[in-house]
Amino acid sequence: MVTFRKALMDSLPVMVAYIFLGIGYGMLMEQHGHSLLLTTSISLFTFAGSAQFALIGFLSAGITPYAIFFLILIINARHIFYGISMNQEYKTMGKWKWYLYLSLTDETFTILKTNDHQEGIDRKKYLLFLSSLNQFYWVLGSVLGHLLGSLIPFEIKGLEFILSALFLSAFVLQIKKKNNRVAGAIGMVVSIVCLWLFQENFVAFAMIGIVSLLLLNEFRAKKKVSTK
Amino acid sequence: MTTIWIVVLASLATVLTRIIPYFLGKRFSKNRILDDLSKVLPTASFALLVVYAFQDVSLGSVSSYLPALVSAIVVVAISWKTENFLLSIFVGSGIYIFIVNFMV
Repeated sequence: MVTFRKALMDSLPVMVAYIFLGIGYGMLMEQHGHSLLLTTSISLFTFAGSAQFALIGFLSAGITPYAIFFLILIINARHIFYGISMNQEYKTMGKWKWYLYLSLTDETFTILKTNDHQEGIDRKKYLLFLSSLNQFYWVLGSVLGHLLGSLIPFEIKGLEFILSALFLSAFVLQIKKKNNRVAGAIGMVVSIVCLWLFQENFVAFAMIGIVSLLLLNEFRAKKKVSTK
Repeated sequence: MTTIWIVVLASLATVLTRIIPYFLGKRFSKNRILDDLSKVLPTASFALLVVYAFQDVSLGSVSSYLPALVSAIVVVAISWKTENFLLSIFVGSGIYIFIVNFMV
């Protein structure tokens, strides 16, 4: 119960953001003439916000299915970083690990990693509660948007900033610890340079740059230790 | 029919990006590289996500960058001072949402 309450508390920003962004997604799907079943199954089985919004465009643009497969692969490539970071923990999760891997969004990863040293909670249950709560919000929002979208008369601008704030705060909390600062600087500089060079397609390039520099840095650090 | 096929392929592509790390972990279980990486990747990933989230902020338009800048500073300051994750998110985005709805 304590664990569930903690997961629920930690998921609050995502609750607000996913429900409202989900409503936006459901509305858009409905306006494009897609069925409620399709909206719900995509939110359940793809469960990746930016890819789902892109997919609406791909569907109406008539791009071939195979091209779509590769585009989605590139859009979601960043997930690979999250899984690698969670491998150690997920290894201990038995059959539940499959759900944890498959539901690992940007936001779920950020919250799980930011809250990874907590006393008095059951970490295994926490992983499952937080992951499934977040997915619940997204599916709920999508369904609501599809059903009631046209009845919602107002629009609150800027709700997506909740997610920007989530990532920014997580980043700051990490670099408060001195030994994370090199990785933080590498991530920040490489991402900004790649954004400048490649514009909206920068993520895959940034990932390659980040991994290369991180490995190079590890290698140098080890060499230093061994020569001492 | 094509729609269903596309949706299945899109899900498959997403599943792939989430499951590849598991197989990498199995393949390189005897190698330290992935373990070393997994310690530094979270911080680097958050940096990437910050840039990803703020990429649409236009430096050419004051009404685009000023609300984002002010709120981002608030988020950074609260996170740094209090280490309170939720507080910094809610205060920072509260300010942002207020500005873009009522002031711009």
